[in-house]
Amino acid sequence: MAYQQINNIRIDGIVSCVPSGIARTVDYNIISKEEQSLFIKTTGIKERRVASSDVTCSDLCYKAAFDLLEEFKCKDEIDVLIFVSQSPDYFLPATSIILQEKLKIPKTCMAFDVNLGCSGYVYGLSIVGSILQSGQFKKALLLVGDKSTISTSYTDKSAYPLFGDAGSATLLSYNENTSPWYFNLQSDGSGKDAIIIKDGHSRNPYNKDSDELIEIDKGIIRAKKHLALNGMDIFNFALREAAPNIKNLLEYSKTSIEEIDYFVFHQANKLINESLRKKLKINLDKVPYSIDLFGNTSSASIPLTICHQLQIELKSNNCKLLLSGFGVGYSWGSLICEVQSVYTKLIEND
Amino acid sequence: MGISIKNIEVYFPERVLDNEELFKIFNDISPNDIFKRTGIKKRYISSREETASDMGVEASEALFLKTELKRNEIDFLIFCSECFDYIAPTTSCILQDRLKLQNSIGAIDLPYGCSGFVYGLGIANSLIISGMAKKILFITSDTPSKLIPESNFELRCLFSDIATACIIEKNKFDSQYVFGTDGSGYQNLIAVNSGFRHANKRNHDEKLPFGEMKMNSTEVFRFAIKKVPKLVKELLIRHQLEIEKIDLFVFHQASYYLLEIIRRKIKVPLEKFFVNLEFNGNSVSSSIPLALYEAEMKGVLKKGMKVMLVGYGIGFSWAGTIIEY
Amino acid sequence: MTLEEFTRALELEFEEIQPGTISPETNYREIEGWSSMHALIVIAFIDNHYDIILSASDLKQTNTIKDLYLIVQQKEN
Repeated sequence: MAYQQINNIRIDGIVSCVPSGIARTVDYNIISKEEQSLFIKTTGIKERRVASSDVTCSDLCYKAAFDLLEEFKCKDEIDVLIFVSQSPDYFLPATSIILQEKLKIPKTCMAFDVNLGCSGYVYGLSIVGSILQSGQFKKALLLVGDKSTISTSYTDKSAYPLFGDAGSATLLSYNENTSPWYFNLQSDGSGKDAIIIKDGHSRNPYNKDSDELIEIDKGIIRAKKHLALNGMDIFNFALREAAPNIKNLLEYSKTSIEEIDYFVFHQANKLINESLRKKLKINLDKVPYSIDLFGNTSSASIPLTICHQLQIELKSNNCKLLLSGFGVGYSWGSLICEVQSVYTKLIEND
Repeated sequence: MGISIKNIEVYFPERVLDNEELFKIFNDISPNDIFKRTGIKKRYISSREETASDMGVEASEALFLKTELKRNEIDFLIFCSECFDYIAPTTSCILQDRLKLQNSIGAIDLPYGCSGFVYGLGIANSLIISGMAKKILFITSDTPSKLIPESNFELRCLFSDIATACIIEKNKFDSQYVFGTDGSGYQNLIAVNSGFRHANKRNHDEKLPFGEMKMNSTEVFRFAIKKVPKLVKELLIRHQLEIEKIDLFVFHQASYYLLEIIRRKIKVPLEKFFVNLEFNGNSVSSSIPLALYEAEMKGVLKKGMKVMLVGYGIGFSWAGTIIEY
Repeated sequence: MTLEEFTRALELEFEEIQPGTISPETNYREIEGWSSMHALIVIAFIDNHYDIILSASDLKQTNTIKDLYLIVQQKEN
């Protein structure tokens, strides 16, 4: 079982960066006014941030990381740099290596990419945690995010209005005065078709049919190069798997729901997250949301929600957090961690 | 505490590209001269439909067939490649399903090139020491041939599509890892217009749907002869070992000349420096596990030996460790 | 929950609908303004009350509110 206890890890700071461009659900004219309000009601998404064509996910992460490293003045101490994304600058080389140079991080650092979506932040933290725990490496920078808006078709109402772009940077360090973190990670590739970009990589290389727009259903017109989302399957998966994953983790770590100060869920869609909240019988004030203003920002949604909603709480208090990411893959995982005086900030890319 | 590498299995695609065929295509230097320049006689080329993950499945199935290992003993999966099935979802998730591994496993893709095997080992080492995983299935598989234009003689001479699968488990020997990164060299080996940086230019060449691989071989060469010997020195210091105590050196198999220059610089006798490019070519992240596999078959590598592993290349990136095999 | 209670409770989930307009015999796909979003609302509602997650193929077998109720009853036993 992929349960894990990690010791000696501290989150020093989290900075998230969103593009300044705003897309409002009420301006999405593929659907009627009634559909728009139903969409806002069920998904919670009023607006999202969209990066311009020359800005990539790595640019957003760069900006967040730059701010974070300026605040802590520690770029020379970074031993590990991880970039978690499904929108890398190139298929090769790894984007983390390019960011090492841009951020002027020492050449002695370990830099690699991890290719995951909605579960990416929790997976990323578990990998960073595993690497730092031994004490050989002292400081790590975890960059997560996606530019999803470039992959969706404007005429696909089932995907286009859901996604927003964001990048984030989390600074972690080896610290012996922290309490243990607990993880529970899972995978199920039988759900690969639930969220997928069919064409454009090795399985179905890009070809002349990849661009052809096809009407899948009413209001759903997209090409094979676009991100396709089967809302019902994803919804079923999240309802089925997220709650038991969290419950098992609470049990494994001998933690009660009451002991957790905040549950930060991947911002998938309000209906899913509310169902999850009710299933676990958690009070509304313990479950922060940022989906209304940023949409589903893939792996960045957890750090973005923290930076947007929990800035004061994390700065001043000792907080016990449960973070849970679930989605594309299917891949899902949760983490219980205690954090203390964490620097957080939300910035805009101009 | 560290890790050991077990049960390496290898998969070779059917199609072989030998020097005679390259000579026929390009009518350039003779088959023998190609061998003299590269140290390579043949490479493997995946078929059009065959992806890196398909090759990884073949290698993994061979592994399960040849060992007593049960699929439900695997608790983590790492898939190292630069040619994934889809932009999303993660290929390792699909492999979880295709290989009938448990749902409770963690699965990650590691997009990495020539230093990918050592990076994967380093991550596996952390996962195992931290208690996250006990038995990791580690697959390396790449299809560089799919990024090389038909007309690029130099790259077609070098690269090869090969997959390997192995099991990573706990071991008493305390391995240290040394990593290095220098992104200022990223344009010296790159798939241009491949990802999201120039998304509007992506995908427009049907013959090279993943972008075109470009290599500045002089720069890559310079980087490697500068960095690798330093890395070897640092590894020995970190492990407090004399170079004589290392039983075998297994480095990324980039090209014969490069390996030979490195060998001379670090002053290692030929018999301790394993080279197996001749019939395999440069198989990116598969080169080190493939070399370990062949070294063991030839009796050069035996259980309990101290082996230095070094990967270097695209990025630029370099990584090394010493393991007890 | 009786069939009537089930119908009324589900009706409350669809905020746009006037109370009392749907009955157990109503074909839910023909409710005015019905969309795929509503299907998700139905699944969440049933999951919330019964801890049963209907799949897309479960939904395909149903037309009326009563069908939904029956499939839930069947899965409960």
